[in-house]
Amino acid sequence: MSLLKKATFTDLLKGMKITLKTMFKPTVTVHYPFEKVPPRKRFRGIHALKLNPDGSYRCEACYLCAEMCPSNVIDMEMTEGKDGKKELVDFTVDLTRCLFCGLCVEACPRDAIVMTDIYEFSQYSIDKLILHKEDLLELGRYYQKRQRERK
Amino acid sequence: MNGLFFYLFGFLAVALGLAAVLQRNVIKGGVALLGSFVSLGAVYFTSGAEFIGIVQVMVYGGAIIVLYLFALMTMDLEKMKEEPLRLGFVSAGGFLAGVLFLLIVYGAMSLEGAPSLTVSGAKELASPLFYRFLLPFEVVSVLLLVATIGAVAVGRREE
Amino acid sequence: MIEHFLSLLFIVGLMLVAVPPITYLERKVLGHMQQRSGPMVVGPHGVLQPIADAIKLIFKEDVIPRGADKLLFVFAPSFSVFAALLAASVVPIGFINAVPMKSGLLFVMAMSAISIYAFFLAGYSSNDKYSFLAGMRAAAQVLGYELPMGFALMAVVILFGSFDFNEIVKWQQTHGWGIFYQPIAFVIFLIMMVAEVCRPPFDLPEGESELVGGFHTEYSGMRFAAFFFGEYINIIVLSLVVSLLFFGGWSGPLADKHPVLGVLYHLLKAGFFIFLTFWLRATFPRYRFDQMLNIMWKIFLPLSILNIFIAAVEALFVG
Repeated sequence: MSLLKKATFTDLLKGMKITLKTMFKPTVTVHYPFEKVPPRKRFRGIHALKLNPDGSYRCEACYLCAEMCPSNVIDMEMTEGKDGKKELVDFTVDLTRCLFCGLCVEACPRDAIVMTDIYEFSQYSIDKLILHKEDLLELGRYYQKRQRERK
Repeated sequence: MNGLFFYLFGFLAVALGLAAVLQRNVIKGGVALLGSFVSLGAVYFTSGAEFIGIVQVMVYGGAIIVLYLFALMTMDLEKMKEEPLRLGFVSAGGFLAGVLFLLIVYGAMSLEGAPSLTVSGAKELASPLFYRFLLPFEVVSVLLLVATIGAVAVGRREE
Repeated sequence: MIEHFLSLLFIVGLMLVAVPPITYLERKVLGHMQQRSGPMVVGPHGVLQPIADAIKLIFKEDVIPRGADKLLFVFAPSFSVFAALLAASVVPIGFINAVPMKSGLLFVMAMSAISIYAFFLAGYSSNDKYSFLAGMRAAAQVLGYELPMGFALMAVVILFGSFDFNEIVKWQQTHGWGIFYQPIAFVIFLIMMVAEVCRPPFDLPEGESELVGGFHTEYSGMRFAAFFFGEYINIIVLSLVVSLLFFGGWSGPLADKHPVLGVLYHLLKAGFFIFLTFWLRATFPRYRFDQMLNIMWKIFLPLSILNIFIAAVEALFVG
């Protein structure tokens, strides 16, 4: 019986039937640069800094996020403001080292640093991958707009 | 036109044959031999023996040289390059080649006029082979069978 | 004379022009068989992809590795195309017959037998371990498939009584298609044909997963493309030969009155076998080296010899 099976190529023909059937099935490809799969709700993309509704910085430069970061990605600079409070001068996120674990977001007591859903951030030059305060605030505006849209 | 190609391929066959013998790199020698055989096939073509020409290319070019090269590639080619020419082997080979050459010349001399070219297809070749020259044909095939069995016996691993 | 020259131009032109669309179709078919969509970006549904590929290959740097045997390295890819085109020149497509030859079938076999040297010499001359192993595999493979293929054809030739393609088709027009008389020869020839052109599941000389790129590991640019030209032309030629031997070539309804229709029938039949090679490629994994030699020498060779006796008996009765 098994000899007969081999001689008539039963198993081989079965396989060929499957491939032929598959050929007429619709494809499952997502044509990436033209079509994109929207990221999941909790996707961790690149960082952003949120602003308060009145336009002041949410970040108080407490260094907790920098402290938590396993890859030493975050660094910030601050100075004493007019009213004696800490004031942020620069906030840098070095994406070349970041592993997108989200611990900085967990650590932040003011919910200032958040993660957007942006995953396409390739650059031709490595120093463009180090994000500064302005970039992060820009991303923060994008993030907040996005949050409002989601609701 | 045909005559021109006949001499062209004849010359190529001889030249590549010489290259096959003189080439120190064995693989290149094998390739030269392949070229020689294919040119010989073309010589058959130009003299009207289409079938023999094709069989020449197929058997010698397609099978025998592949076997040679396959066997040669399993050997250490660098070592073979350093091996000196042995006078005994060279002289023995030269002697045999000389005798063969004389025999061929003698055979060619005994031909009366140009041979008639009627062996273009398989049929014209097969009928003399299987009727007029049946006995030599069978003897040669038995000889080949003996050689095959001998090769298997020599090459067989002892259990 | 002029007619033959025009036919030759047509056939060689057809072979060279047909290769790029075939590579495109192959990628499309393979893609859809795996629920992918294949090339999509260049042109609508990627139809201009072969042109983009050609431009890329032409402008690519041509590298000859240090330590390579330069003469053979340059010779090998051109030999691949040369042998394939020589084989193509004797195959008639319908009424278009460039080189009418009494032993046309044998000539195709001889040319495809020596086309393996392209792989072999490429493997040797590259001075690279992987290419070398691929060359060895190519040589062993040719020794494997050549005999069963030859014997399968022998059976067919005994039945048809001729090596001439035109005679073979004429025989089938009166007696019916060859596949009804010689199904075993057909199956053997089909499998050996796949082995001959080194396509999956017999693509041992270019097994990407084991040998990097196989014999063409060290090749780039147009030399690399030349190997593929040779390979695809061989596929086309052997597909034409299969449809000639077993499916009546250009015979079909109304083909006697309209010879152009015959050409179309022949190309369609050959097209199916070209599709079949894609289909096999999408379906089966590569055979292991020893498995390949085992089935060639231990199954197909005895089977094809046995088949000669069947053919002889058939030839007695059918005539």
